Amino acid sequence: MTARVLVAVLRRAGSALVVLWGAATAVFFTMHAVPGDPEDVILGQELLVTEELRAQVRADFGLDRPLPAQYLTFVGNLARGDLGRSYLLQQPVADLIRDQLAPTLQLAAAGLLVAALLATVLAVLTTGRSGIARQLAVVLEVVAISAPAYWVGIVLLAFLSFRLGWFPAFSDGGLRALVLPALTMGIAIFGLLSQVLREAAENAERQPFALTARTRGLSRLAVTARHLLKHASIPALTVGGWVVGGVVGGAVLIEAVFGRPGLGRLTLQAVVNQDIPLIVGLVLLSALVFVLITIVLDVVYRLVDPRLGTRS
Amino acid sequence: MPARLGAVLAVLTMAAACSGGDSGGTGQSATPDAAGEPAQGGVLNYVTDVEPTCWDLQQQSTIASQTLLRNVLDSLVRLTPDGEFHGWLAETWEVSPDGTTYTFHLSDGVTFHDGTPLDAAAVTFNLDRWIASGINLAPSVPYESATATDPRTVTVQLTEPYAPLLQILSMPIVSIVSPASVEQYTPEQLCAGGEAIVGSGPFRSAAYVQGQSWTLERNDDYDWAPENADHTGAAHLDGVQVTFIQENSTRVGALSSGQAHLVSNVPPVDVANLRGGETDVLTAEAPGIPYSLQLNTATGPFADPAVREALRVGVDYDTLVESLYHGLFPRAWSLLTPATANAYDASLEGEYGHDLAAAQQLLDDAGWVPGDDGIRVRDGERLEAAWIVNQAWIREQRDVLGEGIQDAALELGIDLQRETLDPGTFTARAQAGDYDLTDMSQSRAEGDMLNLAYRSTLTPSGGGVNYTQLADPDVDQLLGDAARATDPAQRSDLYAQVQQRLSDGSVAIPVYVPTYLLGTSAGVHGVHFDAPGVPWSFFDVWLDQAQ
Repeated sequence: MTARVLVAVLRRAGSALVVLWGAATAVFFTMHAVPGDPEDVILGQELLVTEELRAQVRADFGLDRPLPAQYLTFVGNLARGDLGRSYLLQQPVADLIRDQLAPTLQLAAAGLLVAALLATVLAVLTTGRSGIARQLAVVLEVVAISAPAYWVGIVLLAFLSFRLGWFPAFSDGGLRALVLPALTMGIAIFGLLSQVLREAAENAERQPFALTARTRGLSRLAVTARHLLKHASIPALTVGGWVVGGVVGGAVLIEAVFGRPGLGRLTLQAVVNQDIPLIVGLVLLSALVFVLITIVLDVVYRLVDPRLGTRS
Repeated sequence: MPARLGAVLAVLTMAAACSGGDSGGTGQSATPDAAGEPAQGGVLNYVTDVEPTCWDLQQQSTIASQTLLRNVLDSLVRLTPDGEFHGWLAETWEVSPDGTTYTFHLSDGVTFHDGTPLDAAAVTFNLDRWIASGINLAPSVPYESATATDPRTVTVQLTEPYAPLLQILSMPIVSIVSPASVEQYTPEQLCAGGEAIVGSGPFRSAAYVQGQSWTLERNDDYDWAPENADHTGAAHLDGVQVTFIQENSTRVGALSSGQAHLVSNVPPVDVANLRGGETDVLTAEAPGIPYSLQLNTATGPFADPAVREALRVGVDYDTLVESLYHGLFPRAWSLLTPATANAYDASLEGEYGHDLAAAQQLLDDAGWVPGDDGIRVRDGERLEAAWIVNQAWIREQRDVLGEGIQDAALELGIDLQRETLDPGTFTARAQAGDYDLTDMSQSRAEGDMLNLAYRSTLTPSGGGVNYTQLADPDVDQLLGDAARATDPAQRSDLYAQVQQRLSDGSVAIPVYVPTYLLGTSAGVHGVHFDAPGVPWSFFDVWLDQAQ
C-alpha cells in the first residue's frame, strides 16, 4: 500500500519534472531562434553603439558562446534552481518572480472568489428554469465572456472611480484598490463558470435522484443548491482549474489598466523585450502552476465525488 | 568666458526660438505665473507611463530613467530649452581658446544624500565611469582625462575640440552620483534602484515598489540649485509620489478626477477635454530629429533623388499631421526641430508644398509609368519600397499616420510595404541595409544630433542611426567642422548648411515635431520643462495650500 503510494507520487513528480524541462527547453530554443540580440534590448535607446560595447554585453550574459554550450549551462543552472538574470532588468529572475508573485496571487484569489460567487448565485437562480430571468442570465454571461477585461476595467474605473470616487484609480497597496481589479477579473471569468455549472446541474436534474428529492417535498431551489450543484461542480472545477492556470494571462491587461504590480505586467514587459531568461522563468512558473492544479484537482474530485475514489 | 558665451547664445536664441508662454509656435508652455508666494509642503502626486527598467544610468539609459532621475541627481551645468547654459554643480567654467580644455569650478559645500562631499574627486570619478560605460554618447567624445586640480576644480582634457561637450554634460546621462554608493552597492543593486540611488539632487530616493511606485522625499540640505531656478534653498514640496500607469485612459481619468496632480504623456485626443477648468495641458516640443521618414539613399527606388522628392511633395503631410494630432504637433520642415536651439534652420519652413501633379511628373520623367494595378513600373519592375518599422518606436499613433502615408503614396503609384518588426529583427534588417525606408525621431538638444543621423560612417552597421545610408563627403565635412568649431554663431551656420543640404537632396522627409503633453491640475505651479523636451525636476513645483 505505502509502496504503491510512493511509486504513484514518484511517477507524478517525475512526469512533472519532464513537463517543466520540456517547457524550458522549448522556450529556450524558440526564443533563441527569433532574430535579434539581447544587446539590442539593453542598449535599445542608445544613439551610438560601438562594436566593442556589443561584444562586451554579449560576453557579460554568456552569449558569445555557441548555443549548445549556452543550453548546457542553462539546464545546469536550472537544476540548481538558478533561473539566471533578466537582460532588461538585470536582476535575478527568481527574485523578480518572487517579488511580483504576491500581488498577482492576491488579484487571482479575489477575482476567483468574485467569479465563484457570481456563478453560483446565477446558476442556483436559473437552473431548470425558463423565461425572462434565465434569458437575462444567458445574455449576461455571454456579454461577460465576450467583453474584453480591458474594456470592463475601463468602464468600472470611469464610473466607480473617476465619476463616483468610491475606489482609487490605481493601486496604493491597500485593499480598497483591489476591489475594481478583482471585479474586473471576476466578471471576465464568471460567465463561463456559470454556464458550465447550470448545464451540468440541468443534466443532474434529469436523473432519478433529483425527482426523488423533489417528491420528498424539497423546493426546486433547495434541490439545486443541495444536490445538483455538487454534481455540477466536477465540470465547473475542471473549467475553474483551467481558468486559474490562465490567470496570469488575464492579469496582463488588468494589471496594466489599474497600474498594479504583478506577474502579468512582468510577463508583458518580458515578452515585448524578448527578455529570454525572464520569459523562461515565467513559462516554468505557469507550467508548474498547471502541474499543481492537475494534482490538486485530482484530490478535490475524489472529495467531491466519492465514486471516483481508488478501488484498492 | 561663460558670460560672453551666454550673451552670444542669448542673442541667437532670441532670433531662433522662443515664444514664451504661448503654446502655439515653437518652444513650450509653462504653468502661468501664479499670484502670491509659493506655498511650502505637500506631496506631488505624479502619474507617469513608462517605468524605468534600470535605475543606474551608466548601465542602462532610457528617456524614462533620465527624466525621473533628474529629481535626485544633479549635473555640472544646466541647459534650458532656450539654449542657454547655467551654473549648477559647477558655478562657473572656462573653455581654453583651442577648445580642448574645460575647467569647471565647483560650488562649495555640496554633499550627497549619504553625507559624503561632492568634490572634484567625486566629479572625476563620475566622468571616468561614464566614459568607461561605453554608453550615453561616450564613444563620440574625444575624452582624454579628467583631473581634480584642487578639491573644487576639475579639468577635462580632450584630444581635439568638441563643442557638444557642454550639452552632454548638462543631461542626466552625465549626472553626478555618490562614489561611495557605487562602491557600496553591486551593479545589480544599483540597477534595482530605491535607496541605492544616491545623488545630490533636491529630492532623495526613499522607496521603490517595482511595478507600482517610487517615493521621493525632500533633501532639506539642498542649497545648490541651478542659477536660473525660480528659487534657492530646498524644494517647496515635502516629497513626490511617482506612480507608474501605462494605460492612457487611467492616467487621464486620474487627473480629471483629482487623484493625480500631474500626468505624463496625455494623448492628443484628450487635450481639449483637459483644457479649461480644473486641469490643463502643458506642452514642450522635442529638440533633435523630428519624426521623419528616413529614405535609403544607397539602394532601391530611393537611391534616385527624383523618387525621394516625389514622395516628399506627393503626400499631403500637413493634413495628415493636422487631423491626427488635433493641431497639437507642429508640422516639421527641417531635420532638426525648432526646439534645437542654436542649430535649427527656420528658413526651410514651408519650402515646398503638397503638389501631386509635380510628384507624378517627377516619377514620369524618371521612367516610372503607371502599371495595370496603378503601381508604377519601370523595365518590368514595380515601384515597391520596404518600410521597416521598429515596434518599440511606435507611439503617438505612428501606425495610423503610417497607413495614411501609405494610402497617399498608392495614389502616386508607389507601393510602400510597411513591416512592423520587433526591435531585434529591426536592428538585424537595418544593419544589413535590407530596407528602403524607415521612420524615427531622436531627441537631443544639440545640432550634433545630425552627426549621429547623417554621418557616412554612422550607419546602423556602424553603430549610429544614419538609416538613410547617406555618404556625402560635404555633409561629413560640415558636421566635423561644426563639432570642432568654438564659435557658437559659426556652429549654428554650419548646422544650417547641413540641414539645407539634406533638404536639397530629400534624403529624409520631416513630418511632425514630437511634443510632450503634460497634464496638470490647477493647483500645481512652477512646472518647468528641461532642454530635452521632458519635465525638469520638481524642484520649483509647489501646490496650493488647499491641495
